[in-house]
This record gives sequence, C-alpha cells and structure tokens, in this order.
Amino acid sequence: MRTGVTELRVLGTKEQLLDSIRERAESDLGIRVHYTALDGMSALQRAILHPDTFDVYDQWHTSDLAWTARAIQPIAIERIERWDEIGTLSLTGRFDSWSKGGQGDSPGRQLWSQPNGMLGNSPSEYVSMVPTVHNADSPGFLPEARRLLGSSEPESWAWLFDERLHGRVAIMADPSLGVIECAMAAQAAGLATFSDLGNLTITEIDTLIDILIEKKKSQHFAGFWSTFEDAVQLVERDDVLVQSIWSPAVTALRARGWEMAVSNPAEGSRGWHSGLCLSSRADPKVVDAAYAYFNWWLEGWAGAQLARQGYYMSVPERTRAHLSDAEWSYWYLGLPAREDIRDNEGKVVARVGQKRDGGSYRDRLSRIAVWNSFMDEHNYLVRRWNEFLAS
Amino acid sequence: MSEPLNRIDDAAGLESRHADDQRPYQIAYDILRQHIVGKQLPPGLVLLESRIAELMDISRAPVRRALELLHRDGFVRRFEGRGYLVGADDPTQTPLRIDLREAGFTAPAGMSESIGLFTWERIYREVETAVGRTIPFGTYRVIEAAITARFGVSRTVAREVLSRLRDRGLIQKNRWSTWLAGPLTAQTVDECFAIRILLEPQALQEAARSCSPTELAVMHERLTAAVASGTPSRGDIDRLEDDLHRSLMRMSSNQRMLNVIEESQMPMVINQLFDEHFGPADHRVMLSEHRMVIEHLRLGNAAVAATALAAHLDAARRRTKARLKVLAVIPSPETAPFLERIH
Repeated sequence: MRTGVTELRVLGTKEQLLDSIRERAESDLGIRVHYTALDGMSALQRAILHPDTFDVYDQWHTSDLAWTARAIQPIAIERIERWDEIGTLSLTGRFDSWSKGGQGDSPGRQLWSQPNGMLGNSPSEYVSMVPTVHNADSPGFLPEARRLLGSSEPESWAWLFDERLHGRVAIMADPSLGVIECAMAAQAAGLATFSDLGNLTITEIDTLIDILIEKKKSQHFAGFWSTFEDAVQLVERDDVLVQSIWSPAVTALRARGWEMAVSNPAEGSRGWHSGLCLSSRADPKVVDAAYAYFNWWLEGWAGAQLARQGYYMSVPERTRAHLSDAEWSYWYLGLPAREDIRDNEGKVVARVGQKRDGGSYRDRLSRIAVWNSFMDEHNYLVRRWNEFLAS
Repeated sequence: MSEPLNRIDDAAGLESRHADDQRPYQIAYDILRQHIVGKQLPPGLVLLESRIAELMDISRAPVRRALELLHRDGFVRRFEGRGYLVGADDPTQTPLRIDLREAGFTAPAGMSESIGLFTWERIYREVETAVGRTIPFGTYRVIEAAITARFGVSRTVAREVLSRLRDRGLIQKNRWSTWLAGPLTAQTVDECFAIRILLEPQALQEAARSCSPTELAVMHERLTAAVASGTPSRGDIDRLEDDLHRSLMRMSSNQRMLNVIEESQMPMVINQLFDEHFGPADHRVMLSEHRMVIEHLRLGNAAVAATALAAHLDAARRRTKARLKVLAVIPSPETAPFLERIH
C-alpha cells in the first residue's frame, strides 16, 4: 500500500467487480481500490467468516445473513447523498404501490435496521446496504432448443426439465438461487407445487431434491455453473442448449456470435437486487472512503458500465446520463436498436433493429414471480442441495 | 471385617473396572455404611429404598443393591415390615420410623451431579451434547453398537441412553427401527417455540408463587451486571438463560409440564453454536427482554411478567431462526463415532 493513499478492499462477485469500474473509482476518488472477486457462495462465506478481510461487500441478497452474523454494520442514510433519487423498485420491489410484486425477499424487505436489532421493511435512519444493480433472470436458449421444442411451445421454466433437451441443459450450482429456479421448473413441469416459491418447507425441499437427484442420475443435466464464465463455457464446450443464465453470460455469448436468447417464461422470472455493504470491522479511517465509494456508485457511471451487460441501476436517471440515447433506448426502454449495441469492450451484442428480450425495464421487472431469497430452511436446503450436486 | 468396597466389587462382577468408574450402588453402599458406622443414624431406624433414592437423587435399583449388600455385610437387618433396620445385633429393638433426613442422613453435596450418576447418566451428557451440536447440520443415524464400543458399556446401558434421548425429543426411530437424530430445522424451531410460548408463561406464573424476593434480586443483579459489561460472555448468557428458562420454571410443581418445556428448549443449541462460530451475537435486546420479565416478577405482577415472557420467546424464535440460516455457511462438523451422517 502506498503511503498516504487509502486502500479500500471490496469483496464481491466476478459479474460486478469490473476492472473498468475499479480504475475509474480510483481515479475519481483518489484512493486505491482492491477487488476480491469470487463466486457468490464463496463471497458470502468469506464475508461472514472473515469480516476483517474486506471493507465493502458488493453482494446480492445476502445482507440478511451478513447482518445476523454481524459481519456488516449499519449504513447511515444521511451520508448517502443521492438516497432520495433511488427508485421505488429498489426500495419496495414494485414500481407502483398497486402492483403485485414477487414472492420471496423482495428489495426493501431486509433493508432497514429495526429497533429490535433485525432487518425489516420499515424505513429507519440506517440500512444494511446501498441498493445498486438488479435484474430479472430466466432461462436462456439457443435456436436449436427452439427447433427441438417446436415453434409453438410457450417459453417456460419447465424447459430446464424437458426430456426433449435431455443432456443439453445446465443449471446453476448456487443453492439459494438454484433451488428457486428448479422449484419454478418443477412447478411449471407439473411435477410438484410449492405454496411459496420464496420460502420452501422441509417437505417441499425434500420433494424437489428427490426430483433433481433422479434427473441428475439420468444424466439430464450437462453441467452446473457458479460464475457467468462457466455458463459461457457450457455453451461453447458442452453443447448446452438451455440453461439458467445471467445477463453477462448472454452478452458475452452474443459478443462471440452465439444467438443466445433470454426466455420470457409464462410463470414469470426470478428477480435479484444487489447492494453495497460496509464491513463491521472496517477501520474508521477507511469508513469515509467506503461512503465516498457508495456515493460515487450512485452518480451513474458505474451503473452505465453494468447496463452494457444487461443490469439495471437503482438510480436510472443518473445512469442514463452516462449512456448514449441508443443504449438507453435498447437496454432500459426495450426499443429496437437504432445502431449496433456494444458491450464495454466494444463488441456488438445487438444489431440494428434487434430488441432486448422481454421488453423494457418496467416490463421485465414487473414480471418477477419470486425474488432471490434466503429461505427459513436455508441451512437445511444448502445441505440437501449439496447432496444433490454430489449424487 | 475386610474392606467392604473391595468385597462388593468382587461379588458384583462388574462390567467395567475403570478406577474412576465407581458404580452408583457402591457409592450408595459407602455413604450408608459411613452413616451407620459413624453412628449418624440411630439403631433401629427404618431404611426405605425410595426415600434413600430420593435424598441421593438417584434411582432405586442401586439403592436396593446397596441395601442387600449392607444386609449381607451385617450393617442392617431385615424385619417384619418393609425395608431394613439399622444395626445387626438387637432383634428386640422396635423399628424407629422417622424421616431419614430428620434422623441425620445427609447426601453429599453435588452427588447426583457427578459421582452418583448411573453409568448411562454419565455417558448420556456426552451423547446428548454430541447429538445436540450435530443436528443443525443434517440428519444422522445413531449407532447403538458404536455407543457400546465408545464407552465400553453394555447394550442395556446404550439402550437406556437412547431411550432418554428419545424422551428429550432429540432422536426418533424410523420405520426400519433405526435411530435418527435431526435435522434441526426452522420448522423444529417454530414448533418448539410454539410450545414454549404456551407453557413457559404458565409455569412462570406458578413459579412466581414460590420464588423468593432474594432469588429474584440475585437474578436481577446478574442481568444488570451483564448489561453493564456491554459484551457478556457466552457463560454469562447461558447463566441468564438458565435463570429465566430453567431455575424459575422449575419452581413450578407441574413436572409433566416441565418435561415438555425442557424438551422444547433443545433449539437453544443454535445460539451456542452461533456464538462459537461468529463471536458473541448482539444480546442487548435479549437482555432487556429478560429484565422486563424479572422486574415485573419483582413488582409482584406475575401476569404481566408472563406476557413479557411470551413476547420475549416470540422474539427469540425469530432470532434463533435467523441464526440457524447463518449456520449454513459452516461446513458440517466432524461427528462423534456413534453418529453417521445420512444427509
């Protein structure tokens, strides 16, 4: 560490810790930023078991666990300059008070510090995280899958279990997200029903894991991925046609010429929302730098970088200022591309006239059936999920 | 007379001859013999198996055995009535029917806690702790033969241990008669707390009638000290939990209810594991909830204290479930040799 220069240690996932963002933050803030990029579960484990190894934790939906373990500390809203500009969706999980909203841990549900020491949805002066990027996920597929399934087949989570795609399906390895997606698939395929997709009971988890073990033993799944790079490889190396997928994998595949489409399932999508947390062990001298980093994030430049891999930002208008009109129209408004749309490396991810799968920000985020959740039975679920992966 | 204890040892044909493994009946024999030889018990006193067992806080079987051996060794004699009489040599003496304690009997302090335990009781603690600390991490088979091997005890003893574990709600048999432990899930936590919320306030109201102001003052003092310390240790927290959820409850005379309450307190192990792995949790809210209950008791408002206890238990239920979720990041621990992971 250079003398006199504050170093901010940021822990997170590969999808979000982009070098371009780190370099820009360093130059704008005059600090050193050190990124540790792991897969989601490893990052969570590191955050909870070793809170002294990071200052900022860039995460999705794990603040609940990190808070209970006292790995993170309350963030004072009065120190977040653009707090009032954060969109309603990022604070409540809905664009309008009258819209339905998804099941599970929707944004806001575990955001504010409550008088009883736990997190809740009643606004207070302190929050567990500064809300940043979010998205709605659903299975991705190649044209060959559509050919095998027939053109009239409605897009569905059931495709993950469809026998016509035997051996050419991949799912994610992360237990908390994987279980939600597989539950949606099992329900869509008529194999099981779940009373709350965001909070499965022991019996429901057992039913689902039994189905999954049977599928795995019949070699239905070609693989299980932990990072978006693994998901890309499953298409390029293992002939996967349908898989649960994250937006950075979609843009990466398109940039390499694959016609990867994102489905718009009848059952709705799985939503997620990220945020920046502050380590409970952060040195008081570094805390100021962490707040500066949070505020810098809400200025829009970082959100624009992540928009180019398909993510939405909690301060859309600030983000818009750092996107071209054509980019804004394509990524946020769901309109046909007026010019070729490129990723951060300049590779084309959508040609003129192409539209984003699923439509606009509002359309896509209004169809969320369930948000990423750490269910009550998370501890049981993780151990049974590992049993499935090892079967 | 030669050394009696050696003789019983020979006569008994013991299963285990560990130097520190003195059998409960041997201890009962020794204590009674000392009382008789030391003339702490008057000649002719009627010795009843049940009362001795009660005062020694052990079961009747070893007492019966001890009395038989005392009879064989000439320290007590039989008579027309039930039990034995102290002394061997005066057949004309009238049986003296007074309470054993009144007559001068004193069981050594802490006897039931350590030396007076049956073999099964001694190993029970270890097995119970091992099972309790393992079940948040999955479902396990409990192997009777491995308990026998691990502790060098008979199958009868191992079965006694298993039957106590079942009574405590820690294990159950599946349809193939295999003993299973766990999993300790959020559902278990909800079910246990639902029972506690119904019963503990009731037991507290009963306890309030027999609890002395001094006892409450001591508990209150401990709470105040814990709050003042800022970060009470796990030991302090365990002690405070004991005060409210065990010591006070036990002042109720409804033993059946207390058994159910004790069985339902099993998820407390989650909080202990949580503190061990993640450092002490923030116990401030819990401490203030405890204080509310104790303060209302001190003011004589048993009904309000009961309501405060119910509210505390509901909050504790939510905290325990939140902590259980976090245990997911810990790899499954190494298990005791008598536990085999199923999933």
